[in-house]
Amino acid sequence: MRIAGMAAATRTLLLHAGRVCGLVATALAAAVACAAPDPLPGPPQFSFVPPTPGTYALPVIQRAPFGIVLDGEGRTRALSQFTTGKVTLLSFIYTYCRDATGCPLAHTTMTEVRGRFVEQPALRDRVRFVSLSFDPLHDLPHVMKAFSSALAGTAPVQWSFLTTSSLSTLAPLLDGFGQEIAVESDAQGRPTRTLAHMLKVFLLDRKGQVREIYSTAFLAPQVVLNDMLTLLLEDGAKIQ
Amino acid sequence: MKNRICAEPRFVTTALIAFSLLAAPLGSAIADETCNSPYMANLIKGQEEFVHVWTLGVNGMGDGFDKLVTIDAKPGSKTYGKVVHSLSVKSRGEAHHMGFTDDRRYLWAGGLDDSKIYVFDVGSNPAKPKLVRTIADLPQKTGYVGPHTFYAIPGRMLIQMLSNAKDGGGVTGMAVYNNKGGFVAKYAMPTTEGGDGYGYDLAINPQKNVLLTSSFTGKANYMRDLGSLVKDADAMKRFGNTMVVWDLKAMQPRKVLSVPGAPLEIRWSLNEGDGWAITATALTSKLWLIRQDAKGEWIAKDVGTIGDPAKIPLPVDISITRDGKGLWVNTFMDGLTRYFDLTNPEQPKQVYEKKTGSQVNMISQSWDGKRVYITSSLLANWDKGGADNEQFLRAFNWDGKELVPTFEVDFAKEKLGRAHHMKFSPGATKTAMRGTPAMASLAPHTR
Repeated sequence: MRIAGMAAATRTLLLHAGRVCGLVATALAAAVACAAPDPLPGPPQFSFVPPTPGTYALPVIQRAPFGIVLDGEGRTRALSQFTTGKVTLLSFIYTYCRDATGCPLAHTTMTEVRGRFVEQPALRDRVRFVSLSFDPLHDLPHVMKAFSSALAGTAPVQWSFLTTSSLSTLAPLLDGFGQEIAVESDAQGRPTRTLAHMLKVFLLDRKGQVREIYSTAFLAPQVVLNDMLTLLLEDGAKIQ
Repeated sequence: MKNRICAEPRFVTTALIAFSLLAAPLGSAIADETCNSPYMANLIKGQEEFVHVWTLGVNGMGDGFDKLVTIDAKPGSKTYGKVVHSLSVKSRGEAHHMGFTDDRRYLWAGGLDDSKIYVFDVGSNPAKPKLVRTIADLPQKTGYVGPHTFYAIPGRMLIQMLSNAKDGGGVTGMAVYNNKGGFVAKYAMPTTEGGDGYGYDLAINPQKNVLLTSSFTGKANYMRDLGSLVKDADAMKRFGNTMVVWDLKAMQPRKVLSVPGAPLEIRWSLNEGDGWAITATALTSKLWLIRQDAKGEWIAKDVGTIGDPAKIPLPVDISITRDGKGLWVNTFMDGLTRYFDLTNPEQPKQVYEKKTGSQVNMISQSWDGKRVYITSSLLANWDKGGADNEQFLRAFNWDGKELVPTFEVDFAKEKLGRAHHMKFSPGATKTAMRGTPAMASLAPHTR
């Protein structure tokens, strides 16, 4: 199952990723590595037709944690404003991530799925996409805003790019979602510049309950789309 | 479901009779670096530095309790081949199998008798695992008992059970817990249209959206004294003869496959582009290939025998090479470790065998296939007696031609218990610094 349009989305992301990296380097004069992005992976190759939306159950895995985040304007917001009320697809990112099978793959998938909802006016106000930074030390609100302007565009489906005010504010969110992160060390045991994380994308229902978790091995846009439609059907939405 | 295929009763009966006559034990295993969940991170593709062994307690041996034993497997280390840590769980519940969480930080280990699940932190310091959680509500939440296979899926653990709390028979199901130990869902094994309801192992092929399950027997059998069991003709009929193809996404059974004689471990080929799995049947001593036919239908095909089935060698654990070209098979009764050439999975050929113990069960190999580890115990009441009741972990190097012993730990001499399931860990020094506190070290560089 190769999703049409993915190649274009990938090219778009590559273009934007390069732009954002440049913006960050200019604005912060940071020593963030802004080398040419690694070639992005294609979507995982799947050879099956996902089950039809509404024909299967997505049991509640856990509740999304509560906490405080910062939006692109630096305003303090409750995370629950971004995890309840709509069917939500959320992933953790950091803007300088260069792991081709990490943040970039999540972005391409979210971009693809979001594109499907853009085409459905009756549903697009009932879904939301959220990218929350792993790294509040680097990904300050204006960095996330610049990142979002490059990636989210003006499409009429909410995609919020959030960060936190400190590591101590971030920690319970990572723990609550079960999102592992580590700082890779070099041969001498010194910290490197790479944040190692297992890609996880979280699907939440309107009540803020995690109903599916995708990793690289199962992150297919059609699967994600069908799961979101399944949750929308639970809420009484009419799917054409 | 559709296209169910019923088992072949005469074939199974014949096999069971032969089995009972030889008083042969059955058993279980999953292990090694090539059989971990495809959702698990951080595969060890170099040298594993620790081997964790989930060990059955033996009354009168040490404290008599189940324990997680950690052995140094790093060549050149001062403690190479030695037990460096032993963590007792202070109860004896038929320790059996283990599985890592998706991030490889935690090791879930189950007891087939008490149905408890122990969660060990092996990520913080693999040389000294810590018990961080005990899950005791499995029977209450699911009605099932005997947690066997622990298989990571994102943020959760998928658990295959062997039995049920009502009658101790083989009709059972699966359970899902989240990584924090909270119950999520349960799924019954199919009992209609050819399904016998039994369970044993499970394995996932994400690319095909397929979960494959196999079948064994219930608690009334696996906790029973073997000598008594094999004399009970009715009890000996209560073994699984099926495998089930599930729609993974929907967690719904799609097809029951007839695989007579207790199909046990399931191994998907890890070779990119392959879409087949292989299993071994304990009672009938056969290798079965599970693949799609030209029409895309899932089928199970008998592709060969393991030793002489009439002698009931009892294949228990299998371990596939990372390229899908080779398969290790341990046969419990004759203590042989066999290697099959799987270049053509339709026609496996045994190309090597070595007597590795008086009784052998689990076999685990490193990702590169150069190291092979073997343990001895099957089930507390099914292990051999007297001098044949060796309890060990034996390590070997494999050069493609010969298994060369490297070290051995005598679990009886060390008063540890019965050595069962193995899992590997990397060295602590290579473990990345974890969590947000570690990220503080990045601050001067990234601001």
